[in-house]
Formats: sequence, structure tokens, C-alpha cells
Amino acid sequence: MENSITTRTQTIDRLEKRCQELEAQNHALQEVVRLDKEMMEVIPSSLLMIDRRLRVVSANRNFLEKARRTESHTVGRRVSEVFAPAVLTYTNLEEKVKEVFDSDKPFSGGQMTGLPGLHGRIYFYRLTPLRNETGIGQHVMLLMEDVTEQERLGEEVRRAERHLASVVESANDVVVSMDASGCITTWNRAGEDISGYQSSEVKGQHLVTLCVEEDRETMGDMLNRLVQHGGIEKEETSLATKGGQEIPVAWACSPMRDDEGGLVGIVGVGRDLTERRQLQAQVIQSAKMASLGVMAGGIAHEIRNPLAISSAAAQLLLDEPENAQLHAECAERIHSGIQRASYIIENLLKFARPPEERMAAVDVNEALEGTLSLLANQIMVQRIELIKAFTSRRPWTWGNKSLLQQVFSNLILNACNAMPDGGQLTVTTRLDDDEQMEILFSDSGCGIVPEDQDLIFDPFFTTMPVGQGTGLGLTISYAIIQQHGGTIEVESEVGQATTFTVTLPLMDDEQGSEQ
Amino acid sequence: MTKPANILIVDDEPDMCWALRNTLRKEGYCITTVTTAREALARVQGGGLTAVIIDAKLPDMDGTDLAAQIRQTDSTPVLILLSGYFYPEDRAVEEGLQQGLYSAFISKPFSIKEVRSVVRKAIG
Repeated sequence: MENSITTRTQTIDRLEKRCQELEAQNHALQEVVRLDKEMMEVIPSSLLMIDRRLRVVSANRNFLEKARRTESHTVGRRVSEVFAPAVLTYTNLEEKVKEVFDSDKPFSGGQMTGLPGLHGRIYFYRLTPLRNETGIGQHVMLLMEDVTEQERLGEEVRRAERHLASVVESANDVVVSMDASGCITTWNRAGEDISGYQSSEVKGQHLVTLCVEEDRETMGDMLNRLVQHGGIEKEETSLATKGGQEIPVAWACSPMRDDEGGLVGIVGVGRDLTERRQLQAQVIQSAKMASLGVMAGGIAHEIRNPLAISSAAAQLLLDEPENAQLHAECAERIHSGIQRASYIIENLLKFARPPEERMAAVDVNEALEGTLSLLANQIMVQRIELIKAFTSRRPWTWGNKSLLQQVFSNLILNACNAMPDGGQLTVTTRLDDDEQMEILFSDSGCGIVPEDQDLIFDPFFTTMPVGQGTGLGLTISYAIIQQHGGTIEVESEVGQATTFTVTLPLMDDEQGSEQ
Repeated sequence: MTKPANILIVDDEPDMCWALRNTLRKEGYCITTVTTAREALARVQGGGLTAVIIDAKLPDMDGTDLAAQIRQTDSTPVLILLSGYFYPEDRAVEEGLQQGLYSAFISKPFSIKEVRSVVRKAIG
């Protein structure tokens, strides 16, 4: 009896304990359900639970708010009642839900727009089968994310891309992008028009191969420098067109980098210089004609002297037919006088002739001698003492001799103008190092006032009376020297002296004498 | 018998001096040639010159300035300007002639007969 009582008490204890355990489990379960529900409520996406009969069994707050529906108008309603017919037709939602139930596989996603009250919003939705303990799919979860912002950003990016592409396409300059090795990836319309090569023909080709033979090294060097140093590089090279022409192009190339700063490509912008070169040539030619005018007085004197000597000698020959000694002297002077006159004319023609297009090795000392001999008389009639201090090693540079000579004559004539009452002109050439030479033109003239020193290279700036100076001499000189990769600078003290210093890149002797 | 006229030729070109000397040689003058204004002034200082033929452009001085300086030193010699730079109708030339700075102007190239007659007339 006692035993049975004891047993019963124990049983009751066990049951109570079991009850407590179950209660605790139930509590925990309820907590999980509450958390689940809570989670459904707080996630920033819309969630719908749909059963096999295509009825909504639950909907989270986000959905109800976005769709502007109450819970009672949603839960228990058919999917076809909850979504607008247009949405259902567009997404084929009901069919898709059925497919997910049948296949037990999720539908990975699609776009959905036009939810009631949500015009202009774009959703991305997914369907996921949910299984119960038996493993049979009882519900399908519809998850909808508002992707309007992302879509809008994406559209903006695409619009920006289209905008940039149209800018690049309508540019008058060649715009070329290359990979880090210099192989072309894009080639715009200007590139096609100027080169004659279609984008498809040049893609994958190295930009160097589009340059004329002699400029390929220059282009290759520039791209190498860019890859090594990563800055913007500029160079002028000629493009070999499909039609066999050569087009001078001024390139500015810069690196394209990824977020980490690694080089991913190169972009080059090339300007067709044909027109500019033509204009420049015209301006140079007209300025040259103007300086010819300035020189004309000196040249007339220079020619009339040997002419006068020859003419007098010829008259003396006729005047004294018997004087053999005089005859010899006369013949000699007639000959040398004519030679001198024709030398002057030859130099004059060389000066007046439009310059050759081609660049070649130029001995700057020799070029200066040529210019000085043409201007010798101008210098003499102004009672200017000329001092030549030339370097003994020949200063070779790569350039256009007649253009360089025009710079020299501009600077010499300027010096002469600065010394109306005579003075001293010193022309010096010297080698700075193995890379560069300096050519100095120093006069003892009136000098340039400091406020004019910044203006002298500007076009049409002149201190000469109207009609006597074009104001283009130094502008052109500046452009020519720049084209030769050199510099031109001025230093002046009013009433004392002015020195123009021209620097030019130096070629080594061997290269020079090979030419 | 009168003493031969002393003529000084100033031209920086030796060949021009040669041509003028030979042009005037048969006229029986006593001819000296110099190539700079400085030398010319030194010779003028020596005195006794009948005429000076001056090139308009000399390396160390303008021919007109030289003429003026000679005039200051000695009023006797007749001055003749010779130039390939000026033309007879140039104002500088006309002014010099009007002011009596020089008696005649010869432009280069010249006829030797003209030079002879101009010099003859000038030294009268």
C-alpha cells in the first residue's frame, strides 16, 4: 500500500516535472514564433505567405504598408484579389507560384511594377517553397524588394555612359583608349575620319603602328614614359592614314586607373594639326616678307656696292684699252663683284622661299653664319660691331634650317633696331651638356622695360612705329623654337643690354655628321 | 704750274677705293684713300685737301656726320657724298646739298665720266 502511494507520488512528481518541461518548451516555441513574426515585421522587404490554393495566409507590415492594404483585406484573400490584374498578367504570378509548388524549387526572381498605389516603384521578387516537418511544401513565400533606387541609379549610369559616348563620338579630336600595353580598345569617329581606318580595323592594334615609320619610336617612348611615370604625356607625331597621307597630330595621353590605382589602360586625345600648321606657315611666310621689307634697304646697299665696283671696272676697261695691268685688275673685280651680288641674291631667295617641310640635322653654327652673312650689311650700316663666339664643337640639332634661320634673323634684326646709334652685338653658341645647346644674342641697345618683357612674345605686340614692325617676329620665333623642343627667354636692363637666349636639344656628333 | 688738287676718298670697301682712284687717276689729282671716318678726320687735320669723297655709310660713322665734322675742322675742302644707300631725291641728300654741307651727290653704281665731271666742277 505504502509502496503504491509512494509510486503514485513519484508518478505525480514526474508528470508535474514533465508538465513544467513542456510548458518551458512551449514558451520557447512561442518565443521563436514571436521572434519569427517580429523578424517578418521588421525586415525592409515585403513578405507574403501563399498556400496551395493560392490564398494569402500571412502578410508582413512592410507589404501591407507598401500595398496600402489592411490585414483583413489581405490575409485569407486569393492572390488574384491582392494584386492588380495588370501585375498578374505581366508577371504571370499565379502560374509561377504553382510551378514552385509543383517543382519544389525556388523561382529566382523577376521584376514587378505597377502595384496599386505604388506607381513608379520597381520591385524585384522571389518565390521560395517552405516545407513542413513532413517535407511537403505547404506554403510559398513571396519576397518583394523595392529596387526603384538601384534601378534609377543604374539608369543614371547608363545615361551618363551614353552622354560620355556621344561626347567622345562627336569630338573633333581623335579619342582613343588603349589597354596598358598600348593596344587600341576604342577609336572614335574623329579617329575614323582623320585616319581613314574604321574602329573595327584598328581595335587590338598598337597605336604605334598607326604612326608614320619615323615617328614610331617617339610614340613608343611616350607610351613607355606614361606607363613608368603615370603622368600626362604630350608628343607630336604624324599619323599614317589608310589613304597613304601623313597627318600631323598633337597627342596628349594619360593613364586610366582602377580604384586601387593600378594602370588599366591609356586614353589618348589627338588633335589634327594640319590646319594649324598651314596657318602657322602662312603667318611665318608673311612675317618673313615683312622682315624682308625691313632688310630691303640694307640689301639694296649691299648689292649696289659690288655692282658699282663691277660697273666702274668695266668702264675703266673701255676707257684705257692699252693698260694691260689695269685690265687684269678690272676683270678680277668685275668677277668678284658679280659673285658677291649673286651670293646676296641667292641668300635672299633662300630666305624668302617657303621653308621645306622636312626636318634634318642642322649645324647651328653654319645656320647662324648664313643668317649673319645675309644681315652683314644691315649690321654694318648701323655701325654695329659683331662679335661671334661660336663653340668649336659643331652644335647639331634636329630641325628645320630655314625656320631656325628665321628665328635668328628676327633676333638679330631686333637687336639692330635696339641700337639705332650703333653698338655691339654678340652672338654666342655653347653646349650646356650633352643634351642641350644655348644660342645667345646680346646687344648693347636700349633694353626692354620690365612691363614689356612679359608682352614681347604676344602676337602684334610691337614698339615700332606703325608700318615698321608686324609684332609677329618674336611670336613666330617662340612658336618655331617650341616646335623644335627648345625654349626662348629674354633678359634685359633698360639702357644697358638685352640678351635673348635660345636653347635647342643637342644631337650627338655622330648622329649629326651622319646626315 | 699749279699744284695738283689733293683728293681724299673715304669708303670702307677697298675695291670701291680702287675704282674711284682709277677713275680719277688720269685727271692728274693727288689721291689718298682711307676706309674709316677716324682715318679721314686724321687726314683732314693734316690740312691741304681740295676735295673729300665720302661714302654715306661707314662702319664707325654716318657719312653726313663725317661731312659735318670735317666742316668744323676745315672749311676749305669740297665735300662730295657717294652712296648706294641713298637716292639723289632722298630728303637727307637734298637737305645736305641745300645747306651746302656737300657740293655734290653721286649714287652707286656710277658712270666714271659723271664722277670725273662732278669732281672737276666741284673743285672748279
